[in-house]
Amino acid sequence: MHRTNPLRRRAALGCLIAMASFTLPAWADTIDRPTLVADKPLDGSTEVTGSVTLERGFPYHRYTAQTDGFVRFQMETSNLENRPNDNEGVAWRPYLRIISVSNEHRHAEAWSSNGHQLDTSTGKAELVLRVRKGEQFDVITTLAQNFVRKRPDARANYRLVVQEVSP
Amino acid sequence: MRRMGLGLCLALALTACAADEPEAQQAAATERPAVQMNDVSILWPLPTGEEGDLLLGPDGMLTAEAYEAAFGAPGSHQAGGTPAAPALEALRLVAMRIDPCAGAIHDRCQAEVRLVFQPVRESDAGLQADDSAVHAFYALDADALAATVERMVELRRAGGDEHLGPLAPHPRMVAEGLSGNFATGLAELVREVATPDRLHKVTLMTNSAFGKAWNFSGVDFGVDGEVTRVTMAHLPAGTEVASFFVGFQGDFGGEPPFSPATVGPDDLQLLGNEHVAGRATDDEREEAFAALLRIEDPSQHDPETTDCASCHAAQPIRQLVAEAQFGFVTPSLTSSVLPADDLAQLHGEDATVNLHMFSYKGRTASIHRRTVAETAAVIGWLSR
Amino acid sequence: MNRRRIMQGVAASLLLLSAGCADDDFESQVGELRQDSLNNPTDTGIDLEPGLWHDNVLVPGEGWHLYHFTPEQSGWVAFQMQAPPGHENLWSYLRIVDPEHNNEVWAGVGNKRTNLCEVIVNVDAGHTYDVIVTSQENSLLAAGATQETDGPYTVAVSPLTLDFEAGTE
Repeated sequence: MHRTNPLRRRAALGCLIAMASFTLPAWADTIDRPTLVADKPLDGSTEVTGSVTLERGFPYHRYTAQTDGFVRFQMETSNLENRPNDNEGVAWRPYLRIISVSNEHRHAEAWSSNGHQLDTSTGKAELVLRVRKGEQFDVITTLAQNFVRKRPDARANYRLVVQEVSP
Repeated sequence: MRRMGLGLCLALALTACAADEPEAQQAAATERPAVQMNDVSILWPLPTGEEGDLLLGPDGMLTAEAYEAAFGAPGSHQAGGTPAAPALEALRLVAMRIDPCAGAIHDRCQAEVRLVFQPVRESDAGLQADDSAVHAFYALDADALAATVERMVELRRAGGDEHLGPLAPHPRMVAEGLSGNFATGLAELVREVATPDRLHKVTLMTNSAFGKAWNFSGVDFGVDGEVTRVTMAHLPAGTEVASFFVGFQGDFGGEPPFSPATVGPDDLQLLGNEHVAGRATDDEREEAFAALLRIEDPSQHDPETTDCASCHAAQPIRQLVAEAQFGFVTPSLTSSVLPADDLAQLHGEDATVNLHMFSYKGRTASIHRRTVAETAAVIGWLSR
Repeated sequence: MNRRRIMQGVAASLLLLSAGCADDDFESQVGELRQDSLNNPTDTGIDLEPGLWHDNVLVPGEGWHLYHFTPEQSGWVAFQMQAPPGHENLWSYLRIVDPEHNNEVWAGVGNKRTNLCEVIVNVDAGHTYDVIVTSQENSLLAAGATQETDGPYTVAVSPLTLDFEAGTE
């Protein structure tokens, strides 16, 4: 019967603890605990770019409606320039989730879309909501891969285009 | 003598069918004609207590075969998953209307009797009608029409010749009850007139979306019994069901209010949504209100020129949106043969959205302005 | 096909877009009670038509209803589900799937104040979309738990006129 060397066992345990310590910050960032991109709020029609990384797999932006009407969020993903062969060179499929900030009219609403790949270079997800001026929503921009794995698992750049229209 | 006079009048009238003149051109009448409003548009009172059993069912008027041919096997959803037609056995006759000249504005004339059935149920307050209805149309020839009107006048006069006034649950049946001579005689007449061989059209109004949407459909029966979908005026070809949706707050917030949207010249889509109407210009609202009044005017529109949903929704939109929120004033109805008080709308007010033009929502009798105008036009036509 | 592409396809088709959070589906039979699920919804066989409202009831064991929608015209539509506000175990949830487009999915959880759920999609004429209606609770069922949703709802697809300028297209 094979007996494990206590020294090796302690070393393995130490290694596990070290790995856990290393991954904890990333794992604290989940679909249910996304990370606010505070310097890029979405005020009405606008456009921002950002990155999904292994350290920040679930970034979110706070959107504030500037009109009564509808808003469209389009998220487009592309591979990192220095990692063009990720996912066999095919853009990651985006995953867009939007959660309403409660107000007197709405509470606990949420939407999501897994999007699709337009072509090998881009993936796109789109959600459209009915909004009132001043209402706020949290817009999570991640990847379908991350959502399925329930942790940051892939890297990509994203572009988020916000367009409002009044009826 | 009186009977001969009435019969002659009807026979002559039937040879000269034409649309009544527009209501705006009519001069107010001072003398009442022999035929009264409640002779040609008869609304049964919804009984209470034991008289509930005396409302007529469809037996002998609307067969299960015809009903199934129109709306499918019992429980069949209609297009788009809209509700099935009510169970035939639940239907009760609540109204009858006589039209001596359907199609008059198209220079055609088909005399017909329309029966209005509704599913009813018992409640502590008496019978309640569900917010749905089935209309059955029976074609009459000239002789049958003359005889039917004559019998109606006779029935009324048999209990006295007083003036019964504007449209309402029939005053004679209200006074005598459904076991009285008038109701009994009327039941006999209905069974004689509304026979399955005369049935040429059946239409359906159902209710969905928690009572906030009303769905309209119908079929025509050909002379050989073939069944075809009613063609709805100015709606896309193939439309089986037209719908009006008032929004879940009941606040005329349906988006869109009418489905499918009409492509006709007179359109209620703007006034059917108070938010859309609120964003419109004064001119756009004026135009929409004029269109609404035309839809309510039988000399301007009939089922061949406007769809069922627009016609049924016109009154609640006029009252609860156009008048209440935008201050529009509706002109009074006038008739060249009837005094103004005969044209009063006694049962036209309802704080809820009531699409029943001549039937019941719950226990509330509903008589739309267009029904008053149509009935006045019928009296005018019969009085020629 | 390489492994990663297969994984991605599987992931796309299995994505649980509960929009709040989601657990594994529950498909097993529990006692005598039939249990449908996201992957085995009860097909109502009903084709929704624009602007027409269909009424139905979710009952225990039959908590996932499947409808179909094939638009005649391309354009924006609002899939809407309304359930009674404040209902104890029916919180409106809609999931729209375009099987012809690599199972692209849009999902929504309703407004708790109104219990109205709305998912707006730019549909393609001739495509058939799956419209799945359930309660948010059913997407959170732990393995072995039974559906408890028991309440009425109404569902429709309403055309919208939206005029967005070109975005990422």
